[in-house]
Amino acid sequence: MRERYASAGVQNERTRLAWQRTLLSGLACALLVARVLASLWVSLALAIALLALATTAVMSWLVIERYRVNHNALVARRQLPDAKTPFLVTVLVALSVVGALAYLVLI
Amino acid sequence: MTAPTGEPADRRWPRSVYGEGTEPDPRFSPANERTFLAWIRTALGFVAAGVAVAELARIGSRLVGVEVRVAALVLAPHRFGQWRRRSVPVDRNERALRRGERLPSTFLLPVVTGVLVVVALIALLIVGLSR
Repeated sequence: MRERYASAGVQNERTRLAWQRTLLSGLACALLVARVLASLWVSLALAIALLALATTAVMSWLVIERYRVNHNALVARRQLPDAKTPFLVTVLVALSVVGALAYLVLI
Repeated sequence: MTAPTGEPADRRWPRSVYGEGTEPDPRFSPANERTFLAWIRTALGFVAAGVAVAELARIGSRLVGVEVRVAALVLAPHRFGQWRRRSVPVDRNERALRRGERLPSTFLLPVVTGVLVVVALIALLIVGLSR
């Protein structure tokens, strides 16, 4: 058990950091969009910014949970978590792409 | 590495991945996950670039506006393609890991490079035209 955990090195921590970088990129991207929209439609820009902040907060909590589950799984030799969280991120990015395309078509 | 005994039934989603092969070395799955996240960040970079380019279209002249919009429209479907294709290779990678097979290759790297070159050329053209 301990051996397995040690051989995993700092995988779990690196993965958590990669998640945090990704969340920060997504938040920066959404805030950029909100800033650009602010000159056209203030209330929509505000809504997007607030939604982005809320989503990032929820995702951060999920990532912390995932880190904990990973850690316990590595120590206790249980199964690692599955692909639901990556899928959620994929859906979020896809939604923002649809929004960006709508913006491009409408401007 | 075989699944440890005394484990509850594997209900992990998607079954097309977790129903295959045996549990890989615990180092590999997070590595696969980090690669996925790196691609997602790249896609987000494209979104930000597309927004920035579209924003430029509103401050340039009419001709520049058209050119910039073309560049933005090149960027936009591309990042959509990135999202669509990404969800497949991650599954394929994880499944290959579980089966002990070789990892699949991706066409996406030359595609990304090609799109970046095209966008850079359009940007050069715009800078040349706006002088």
